[in-house]
Amino acid sequence: MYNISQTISRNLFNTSSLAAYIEPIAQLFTPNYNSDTPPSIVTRVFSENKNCYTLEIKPHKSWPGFKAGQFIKLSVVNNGALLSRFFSISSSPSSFENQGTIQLTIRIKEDGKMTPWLIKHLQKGDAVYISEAQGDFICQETNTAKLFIAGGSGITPIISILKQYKNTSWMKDAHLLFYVSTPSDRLFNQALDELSQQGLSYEYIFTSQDGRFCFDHIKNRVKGFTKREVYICGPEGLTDAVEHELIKNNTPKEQIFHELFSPRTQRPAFSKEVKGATDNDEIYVEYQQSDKRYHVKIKDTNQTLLDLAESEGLKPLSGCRIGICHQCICKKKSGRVYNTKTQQVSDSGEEEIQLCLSLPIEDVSLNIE
Amino acid sequence: MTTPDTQTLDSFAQELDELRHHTLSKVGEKDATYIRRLIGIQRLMEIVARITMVLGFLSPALWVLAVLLLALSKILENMEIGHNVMHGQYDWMNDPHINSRHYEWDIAADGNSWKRYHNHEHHTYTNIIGKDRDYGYGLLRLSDDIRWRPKNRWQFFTYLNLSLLFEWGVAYHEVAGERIFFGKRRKSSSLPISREQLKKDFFKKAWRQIFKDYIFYPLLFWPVALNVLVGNLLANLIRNLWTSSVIFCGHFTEEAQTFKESECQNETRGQWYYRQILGSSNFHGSKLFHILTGHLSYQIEHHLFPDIPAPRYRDMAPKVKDICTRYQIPYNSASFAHQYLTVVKRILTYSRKPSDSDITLNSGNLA
Repeated sequence: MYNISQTISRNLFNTSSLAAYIEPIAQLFTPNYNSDTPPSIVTRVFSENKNCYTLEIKPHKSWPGFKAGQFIKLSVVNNGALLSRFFSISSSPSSFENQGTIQLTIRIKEDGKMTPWLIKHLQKGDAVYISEAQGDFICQETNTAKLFIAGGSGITPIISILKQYKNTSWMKDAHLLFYVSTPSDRLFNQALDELSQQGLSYEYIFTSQDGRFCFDHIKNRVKGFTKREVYICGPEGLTDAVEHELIKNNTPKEQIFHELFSPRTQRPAFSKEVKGATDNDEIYVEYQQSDKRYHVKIKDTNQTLLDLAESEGLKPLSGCRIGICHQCICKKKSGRVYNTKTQQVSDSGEEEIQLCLSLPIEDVSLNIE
Repeated sequence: MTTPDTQTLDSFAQELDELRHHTLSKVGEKDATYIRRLIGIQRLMEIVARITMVLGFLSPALWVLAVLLLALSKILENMEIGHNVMHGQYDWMNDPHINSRHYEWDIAADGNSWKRYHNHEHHTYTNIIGKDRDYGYGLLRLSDDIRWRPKNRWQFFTYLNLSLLFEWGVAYHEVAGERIFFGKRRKSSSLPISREQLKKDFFKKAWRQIFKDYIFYPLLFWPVALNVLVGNLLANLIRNLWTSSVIFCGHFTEEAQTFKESECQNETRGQWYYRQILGSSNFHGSKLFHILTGHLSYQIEHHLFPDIPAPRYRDMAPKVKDICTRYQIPYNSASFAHQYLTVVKRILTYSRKPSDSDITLNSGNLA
């Protein structure tokens, strides 16, 4: 379709859209104006426990809503730069219909760039930017009995589903196993109590006291688990282990649904002593070029993203190869990289990086031209 | 003048790196607000200018004002905004539009072509004869390194032409270097796109600019079409004259040195910094003046730190000068008028056949 306004903006103003052209002008009068996403407003910020807090947000008027279990990309302007992270919505679609707000329950990542900043700086009335809701981790519309297994902040999409379906018939038989480190990491106690009155059986398993997941937890506590739909959300170690055990014990694969929260589990730091960096031989870089995706495993810790791409036959744009000319700049969608020029580790979210200077320290996903 | 030894240059580099790191740690909201406001103001200026130009039929003074305002808006857009954004100075903002990958500027030159030959070639090989084509643009003889030819006799007029039509020189530069239309194709070319694509991009951007300023806007305001056409032409010419003057004062002044390719093999960071300083010149001015030059008045700082937001050069300059003084490295800064006169002097001097000339400007052989 021939887009007239884009043709005008490109040929008269050298911009990709009229909205993009107007944006800085509009910002002279309304600083929060954004041509891609209208601002949403923070209505409340409150602590849940010592590591978690909830942001309550009133989405902009044209936000299309969500299904329980989905997540959004939250973007904020932190010291002039747009930072983004993905968070599951912890409130239900019906509460969005009634109150017009959504809640994001966020765990503070130590040394994180965004999660500690949000709780410190965001106040009622501040502007944030939320994307459309995404994700396939939603509740199947069946009457089948269900089992929910949550690890840490993986409870967030699950609690949204439970709140949304609190009055359904399967809630009477529903079971939740909630893995947290210590009793002080408990979350949503009030909501869980209310749900238990609707039939939900839930229990906490404190991994620091009782150890990590083992299959007995399901076998001994959950009746008829092979006949249930199982919803798992949490760190990679938990979801992999649970899925593996369930399949081994005759739960059909089609009945298992999981959502993985990145980054991947922390492994011992590699040579640059970066906290949480993945062991060298397990790092995968995803290069997306137009509609093709290339998954490349790194072979050498000192290989830059540019060299790695070229070793696979990809030819991203490049120039001086020493970090001056910015020709090799591309969009990193996720994952942290180490910048050999600044000797700093990058942010884990979406940002522009120079391929010739970047070493992946964990799985990275990129868009290259 | 002798080059400092490698060890000295290494600690020289370290001090400059510390200054860079220190400045980058301060870059944030202030810089983001500045560039957004500036773009907003510049775009408003362009809209007001184009409307006022149409109203020129009411009074010629309005038309003159419009031309000047449009020229000013183009100057700001090309220099302080376009050039700096395309250098990646604001990429840290993660803005989907104000970044080096997507920003396209209001000038005949295609942005991608500019980024290749300016950000890469010129900034990496600054003032190296044979590698930095910006030195003389393949048109002017500005040092003894290049053989004199009869055409150099009139190079002052070539220079005047180039100044007046500078945006076309900038647009054509890479195409000329790659011998797309004339000349024998170079054996080694680091062009990352096909020659066809380069040709296509060149014509596409050139046509877009011609269409916009010389066909669309005049026709849109049909009754005053001629006023608008001439007004737009004048605005572009004024921008060309201003930008070429500022740019020529960056590397062609009396004190700016040139270098041989052989001298620059396997450069250390310190040696690279050293060459950037010796090959560049600054000039003084008010805060507004610096903005009008896109902070290229701080050519030295720009060459040392091309990807730091340009307004920061103001605070960095005294510190860079201090570091240079302590390491006894020449730091060239003078008034705009002085620098410009030495550029003209250089053009005239090297236009003369060597046996005729009794003045030889320092062409910068490093010991």
